[in-house]
Amino acid sequence: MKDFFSLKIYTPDGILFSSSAKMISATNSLGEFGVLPGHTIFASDIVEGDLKIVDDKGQEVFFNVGKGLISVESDEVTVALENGIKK
Amino acid sequence: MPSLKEIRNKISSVKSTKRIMQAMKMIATVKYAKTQVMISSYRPYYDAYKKIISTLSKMSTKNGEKYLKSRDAENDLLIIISSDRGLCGSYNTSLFRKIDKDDKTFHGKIYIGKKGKDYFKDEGYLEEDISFTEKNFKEVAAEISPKILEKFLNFEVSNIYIGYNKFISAITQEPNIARVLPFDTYESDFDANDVLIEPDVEDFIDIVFPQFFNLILSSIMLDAITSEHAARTAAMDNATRNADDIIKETTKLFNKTRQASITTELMDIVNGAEAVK
Repeated sequence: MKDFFSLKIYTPDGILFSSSAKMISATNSLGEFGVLPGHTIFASDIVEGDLKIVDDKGQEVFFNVGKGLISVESDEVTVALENGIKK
Repeated sequence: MPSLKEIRNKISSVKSTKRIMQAMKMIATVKYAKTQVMISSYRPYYDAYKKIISTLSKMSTKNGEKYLKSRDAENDLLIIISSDRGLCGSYNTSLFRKIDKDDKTFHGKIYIGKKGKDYFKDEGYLEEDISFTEKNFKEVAAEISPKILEKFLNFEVSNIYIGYNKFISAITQEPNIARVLPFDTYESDFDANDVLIEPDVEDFIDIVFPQFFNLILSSIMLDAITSEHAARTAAMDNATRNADDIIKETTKLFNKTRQASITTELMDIVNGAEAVK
């Protein structure tokens, strides 16, 4: 299993994050969730709040995000957010 | 023949009009460049949403059917995106001509932008006047999209179309009438049943489909405003060039007239001198 997945975060103002990552966690309408490499094909909404990424160097990156959605396809994770600011 | 003073006045008025048009062109060019960058960052965001919607539209769900099932053309609604101001060439007229020629009958219209309401002269389906710029199009779309969607979901209207100028390039904007509701079923790469969806699929559709409709509306509005700025840049560029031609021609006429009057005066002097001899 790969240690990373490719992660792209899109907002209407441009790309917020585009690199490989080890983990992403955010909040959907049911509660907090996280995605690790090798996750099954998955789709969910994202509600306003915090979003955390562990990048390929193991650094944690935090964002304040608006609503949006996430889709996971094998080792490709795509996130589309109404807005987002790096903390 | 007009007098020298009249010609001089004409030249100076054309020159001042030219200055205004040049200024308008510069403003439109800056705005156009800005909206073009906005389009290029909006597109990947839109595509990311569309990819999920494509997968969801393949699933047979109760909530999804409300947005996807085709309806008879009974009470169709047309949203018209026109400009608030003129001086943008054929931007509005070519769109209105396209709508006039269209075979479909629309039972109601929603006007975004003043020119549409001025042209079609009937009352809009939504009471308030809607205007937008490249600065507030997202907020305007977020405000009106739930109102329009509500009319669709409670079967007040059947199909919803949008008439707008599609942005192709700086010199080409194409008048277009596109159906936005019910949604089209797009092609999807993977089998919908393999996807794990959170919360459950019906709730997810209820969250994501209205967001997608809002996104369709806002991206079309961004497309339309980019077309408007491109059309205004081209129109003002043309007008500036025409003004140059007029100034050139009128200056030629001015010189000719001045020369004629000098010649007449000289003739008078010569004739007078001859008479005195």
